[in-house]
Amino acid sequence: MKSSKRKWSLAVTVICFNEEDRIRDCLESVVDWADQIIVLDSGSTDKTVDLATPLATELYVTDWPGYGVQRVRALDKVKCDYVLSLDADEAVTPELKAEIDYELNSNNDPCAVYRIPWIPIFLGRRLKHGRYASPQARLFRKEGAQYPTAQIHETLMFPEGKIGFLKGGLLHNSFRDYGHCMEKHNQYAWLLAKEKQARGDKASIPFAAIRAVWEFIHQYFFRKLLLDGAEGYLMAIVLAQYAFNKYAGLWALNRTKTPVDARFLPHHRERRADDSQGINMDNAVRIK
Amino acid sequence: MNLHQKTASLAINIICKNEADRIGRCLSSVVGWADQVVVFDSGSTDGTQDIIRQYNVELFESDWPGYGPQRQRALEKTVCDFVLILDADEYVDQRLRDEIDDILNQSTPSAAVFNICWQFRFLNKDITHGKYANPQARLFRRGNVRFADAQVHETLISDDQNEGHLKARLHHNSYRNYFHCVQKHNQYATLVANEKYALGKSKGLMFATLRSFWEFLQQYFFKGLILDGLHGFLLAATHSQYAFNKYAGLWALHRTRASKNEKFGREANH
Repeated sequence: MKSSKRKWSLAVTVICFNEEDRIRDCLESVVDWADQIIVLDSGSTDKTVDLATPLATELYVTDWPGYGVQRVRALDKVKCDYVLSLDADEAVTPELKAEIDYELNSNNDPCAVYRIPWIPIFLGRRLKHGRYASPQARLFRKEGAQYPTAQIHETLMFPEGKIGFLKGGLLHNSFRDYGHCMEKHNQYAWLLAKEKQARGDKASIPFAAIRAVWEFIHQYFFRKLLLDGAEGYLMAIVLAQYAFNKYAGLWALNRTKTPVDARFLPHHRERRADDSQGINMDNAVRIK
Repeated sequence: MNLHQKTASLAINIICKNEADRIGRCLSSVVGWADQVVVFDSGSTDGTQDIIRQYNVELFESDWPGYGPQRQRALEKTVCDFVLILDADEYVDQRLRDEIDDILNQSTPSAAVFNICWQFRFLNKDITHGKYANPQARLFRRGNVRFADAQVHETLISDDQNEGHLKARLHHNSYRNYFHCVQKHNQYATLVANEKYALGKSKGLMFATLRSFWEFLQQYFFKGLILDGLHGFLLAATHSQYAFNKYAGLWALHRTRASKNEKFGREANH
């Protein structure tokens, strides 16, 4: 695909489920800018698809195979040179757009991967520090890129080449309110506990407690959440609870001798995009 | 109504939603023993109602008005002299049934409200200390009680101050796993935060922090969860998180209301 504005063409991919309150901000931030906007919806029951249809260039409705596989499916639809992988709760700032345009227009070869700082929005305030402000490798060359298919925290298998760092931020409006913030952290903690259990990891309750205290100190002081005011303090506590519940959950799973969740067994986790066995690539129904 | 030899008749009140994995054990423990079983289901989607219909009970389907009002609805369908209120994650054993029968067989029961301690089970271990071992006012004479309008924990309001205590415990298997335990506490914390917000209350994050430390000390040392081993420590830590999240949630409600939730967040150091 040829780009009208850039030497290298750019696709944006979004995977989503029931995001009617946020999908529009996300897609509006890239419409008329990206050359391809690919949305994969895993069966939303709200207005997400209706709201995304006028803004996407391609829209598919799919089942939910886990984050990794869904990302692989989205990547598979990309025809551009570069991919910017977004979540429905994210939006691109004008500064970031200008910076990406500059990079993809430069006469030198652009980097293979770009890391973009996250700007988490927590209870209405932009945070500048802490875990959720870490740079994310979200912009990368399509050629040579792939995802492993672990259930959460999908990590990109980088295409080979230079890594660039962008300054413009990616707004991340992750939590609708404090209740939603607790709910999401609890879900992630439990998924990670089950993933660790499947790997045969062990944790004790004292370890969970020490890990929680360490996480608070790490986030609040070393990752400088203390510069983000009261919201920064609350975020550091949320992360400490998250750390505690992850390892307490692992302890509880082992203690109650809960059978390992089959989705997290090693042979499941190590499947790659090019391993067609078990990954249904053609499950999507194209809407647009 | 007096189907058994008991002098006073007994009704069971249960309110539930999506409890297909546990409602059967609860009902089995009382159907055939109690004179009346009233169940209010607030729209289960997991087949709970199909299970309930296999038992000889009075089933009502309703919306969800909050815990207090739902308990009150069930109470209003009850006709017996005494009422035992249960949750789907609880069940009664023979010891408790015998003790209640003894009370109801007395010519004049010794009190109008009876407290029953929980036999609380957490991650496959029986917990005998902490707030989940607290006595619950669950058995009472119908007629001089009603439930407060609270959304979260139902409160029994009784005109008769004469209370009794049962020796036998009520089995309570509240959490399917640790995730479910944290999830339920988070949901309660959000409900309580909203309730406090509606009442115009306001607390800072420092209060939330101190309150959570206090809750841990209170539960682990003073209420004796330390005697329940690692399970006790974990439960005390869960209570401590709950205490924090309740007040942090209240603080967050005030905070986001004040900022009017600008589309992409206000700048830091604002």
